[in-house]
Amino acid sequence: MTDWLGMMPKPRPPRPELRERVLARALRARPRRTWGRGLAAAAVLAAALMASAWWVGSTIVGLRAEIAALRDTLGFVHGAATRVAWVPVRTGTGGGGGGQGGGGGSFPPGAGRGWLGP
Amino acid sequence: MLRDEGALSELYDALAPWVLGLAHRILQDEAEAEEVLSDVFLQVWGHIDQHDPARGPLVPWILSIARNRSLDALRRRRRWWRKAERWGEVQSRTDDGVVPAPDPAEAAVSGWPVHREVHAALAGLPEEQRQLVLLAYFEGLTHSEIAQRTGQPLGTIKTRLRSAHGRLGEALKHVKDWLR
Repeated sequence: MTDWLGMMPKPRPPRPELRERVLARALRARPRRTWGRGLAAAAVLAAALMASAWWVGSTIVGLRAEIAALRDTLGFVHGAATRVAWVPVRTGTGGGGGGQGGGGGSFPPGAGRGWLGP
Repeated sequence: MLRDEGALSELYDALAPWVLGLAHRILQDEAEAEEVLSDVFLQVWGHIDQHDPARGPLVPWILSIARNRSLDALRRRRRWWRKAERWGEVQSRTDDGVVPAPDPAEAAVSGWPVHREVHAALAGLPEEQRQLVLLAYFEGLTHSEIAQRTGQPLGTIKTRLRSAHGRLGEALKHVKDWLR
């Protein structure tokens, strides 16, 4: 293992005053980097949380509106006063041709509200 | 290793002499070596969480940082100040292959037994391999640069270095970190 070749040179005890300087420099540098990285990570996290909250909020509002519309429709269809009428319709019979037959469902007005369907 | 100031102080006390010794061996300059020492501990402290004990012990990791920093400084200096000839003379005096006799203060430095092991492993290499290892490790020369410097074919350099690394690996495989 050549990793140990660095142990070949004789050790050189450093000047005693160097110890303080080297350690102080290393320790001084450390918190600054940690603080910067922590701040960046917190900012990214906060932005992600805000985006998620906005998406969830807008989705809930949209779903509520959809549910309200469905409730309204179902309430009307199943209402006791609602009547359904089938109106047969034929087109193009004026010139002797066969024309096309069809029809349309209708919810005639009743009990104060009315709605026409296809 | 826990990232606390006490641990950093302990690490400095245990390793600073070795880091400074390695940097001085490469740079042959006290002021530059001290600068490297300071940079190494700054880097170690800032990136200690990047050291994976599963991938290797701590001391070689720190020594590799010291070596890289020293070689960077050496290359900068070589670019700015072409004094290779003078530097080469100093190298030839310090690469005589003799295991240095320790003075009592040196032998008391923690890690001294590892130092002896490394010397013994290097001394066990054939001379032509040992010189190539020293050129590659302490001067940071590429295989091509070593071939140019020694006048040997590139293939020979590669073969000898591969063989030397194999022998060193075998001789030093039992060495472990003395720091716990």
